[in-house]
Amino acid sequence: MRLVRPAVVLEEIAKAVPADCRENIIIIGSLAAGYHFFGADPAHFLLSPRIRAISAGVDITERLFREHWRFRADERWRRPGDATTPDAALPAVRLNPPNTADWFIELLAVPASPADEGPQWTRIETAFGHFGLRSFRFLSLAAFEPIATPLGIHVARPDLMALANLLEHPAVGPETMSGLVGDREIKRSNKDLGRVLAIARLSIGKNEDALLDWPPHWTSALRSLFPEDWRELALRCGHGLRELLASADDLDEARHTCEFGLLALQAPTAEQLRLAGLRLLQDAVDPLEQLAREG
Amino acid sequence: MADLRFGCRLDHVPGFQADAVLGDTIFEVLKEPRDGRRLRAAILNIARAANAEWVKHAVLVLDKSRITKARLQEEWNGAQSVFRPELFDRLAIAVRDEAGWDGIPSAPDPSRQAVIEQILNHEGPWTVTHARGSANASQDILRLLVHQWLLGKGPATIKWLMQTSGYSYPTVAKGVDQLGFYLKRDRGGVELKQFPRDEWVRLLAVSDAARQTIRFTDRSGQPRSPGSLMRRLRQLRRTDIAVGGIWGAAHYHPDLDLVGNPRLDLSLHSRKANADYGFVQRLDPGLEQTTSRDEAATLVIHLVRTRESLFEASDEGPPWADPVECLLDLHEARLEAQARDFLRSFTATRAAALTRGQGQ
Repeated sequence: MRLVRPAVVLEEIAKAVPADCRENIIIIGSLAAGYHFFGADPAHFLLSPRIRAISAGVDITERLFREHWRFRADERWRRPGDATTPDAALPAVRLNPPNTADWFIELLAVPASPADEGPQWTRIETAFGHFGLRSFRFLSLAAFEPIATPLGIHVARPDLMALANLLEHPAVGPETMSGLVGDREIKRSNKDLGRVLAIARLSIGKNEDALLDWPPHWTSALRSLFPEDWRELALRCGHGLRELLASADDLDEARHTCEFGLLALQAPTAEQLRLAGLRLLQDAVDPLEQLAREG
Repeated sequence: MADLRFGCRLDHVPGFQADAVLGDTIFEVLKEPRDGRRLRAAILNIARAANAEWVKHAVLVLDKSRITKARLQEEWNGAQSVFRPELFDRLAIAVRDEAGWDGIPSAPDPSRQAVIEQILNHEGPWTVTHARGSANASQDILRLLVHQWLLGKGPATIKWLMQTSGYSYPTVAKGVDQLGFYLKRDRGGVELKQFPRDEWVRLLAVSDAARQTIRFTDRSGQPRSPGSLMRRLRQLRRTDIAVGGIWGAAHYHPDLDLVGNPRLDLSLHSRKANADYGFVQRLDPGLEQTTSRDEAATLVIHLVRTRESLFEASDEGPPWADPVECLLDLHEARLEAQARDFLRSFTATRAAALTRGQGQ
């Protein structure tokens, strides 16, 4: 495992991306969190808004290939697709920079509608092949009021990335990650909820009362993006986390992913991670639920 | 129907505070009485309270009494021979224990039982007074007198000491007598002539046990600061938890050089046998109780067992622990220099006040 410096990676990405596309790019995931806190990998791109994301997605993909970025092949996607590739089999846009395979970028898109429940794929056709742009229902949260950087691109707010992950996993599901984390097979929900705990812990490290500021911001985002069912979403957002904290095995998987991610330099024990979770519930999730009940 | 009032001062018995009054009936509660001496003192008190025209009934409530019915009757008969018949006729004893209701001259009727239940619920299960023993009583009396001395309150009456501490007359009198060398008696009250250093040192030696001090340490690896814990305490809006320690000392004397805020000291006013520390998790789920002095304590809680807490209310947040609690906290935290300065600041204030008084 090799650590990358978020600011350096961000600068590298910004240089490689067409200038007129930068303002439509929002960095999410561990790079965004790492940019806030200290450092992590890999990087994920989120393109917003969606219509321009497709167009920008083509532009960015082609530009990066021309700059000698390389398609990141894995067991599922060995090469870019073509016109004959079915939509369901299209590879994601995952690219390694020219000089290293330590990190990669993945282009995503916000969903067309808040009602889009599951993952959606949109085909983009480039000179280097056909790809699918993935979108998840709660990616729109990561695109809400992003933070501008001096580099021209935006980064998602850590608290909203945490909320998106909480909502994405209302329970600890059986689905596992496509690859190993370190030497272990990890449930996707444990990895994503582990990131929530990592963000909470890093936020506390920066400002011990930071989590107290989350509920009003969460409420604002939910009401804006999901005006019809924000209360229902708010009331369920802590379910998966509570389930994770109650399971020693799942919590240990979350801890393990933190060791290989955002908390690599300050790896916490499972108990410390559990306590970060309890603080998150108390400071942010419980108040959000209360706000939802009060309307 | 008359309202049930709690903690009522009676004009005809200066310094006395009845536990409850309902119309023309006075109630006094004695928890877990075990010996005749306390019972006799309580009968005497209730008889004094009954000695007014408006009082038709005066009920001494014995909750979970350990005194046998025969012994109770014996004390009652003894009292009958002492008091005037028209006064004695107003008196009654109500007994509540596991077997149910009993009383002298008869068990209370259901309506009075309901009133007494209400009073007992209001009082809370304060088994502490007797469970803690006479040593604790003496320490509490010392703390109260030091409190009055620090704040220049003047003489404290025995009645005030009884009401504030919750102890009976004999217990308070004994506690006062033990401070004889340091005391002066004036205007029917007692007052410390000077800071009682010897007694104070003895108190410090047993302070942890006397105040049932409990320490909590951080297990998260990200300890919350006292300021953060204070902000969360404010949200709880509790009036039975007061801020003491270095923060409390700074409240009373902001000019003191109180460098560093290594921990938060709180005083919890509770008369329950088992104080409820559930609020600690609300302050921070990352806290865990520790008995090791080697571990840095983030939060330290001291129990205040006296009937009145002497907390100073604050409009802006939780109340402040009284100066004596703060002083004990500083010693307990090994902040000896700050403790000396804190004490001196009160001494200086007292001296200045005395000088002003003599100049007038």
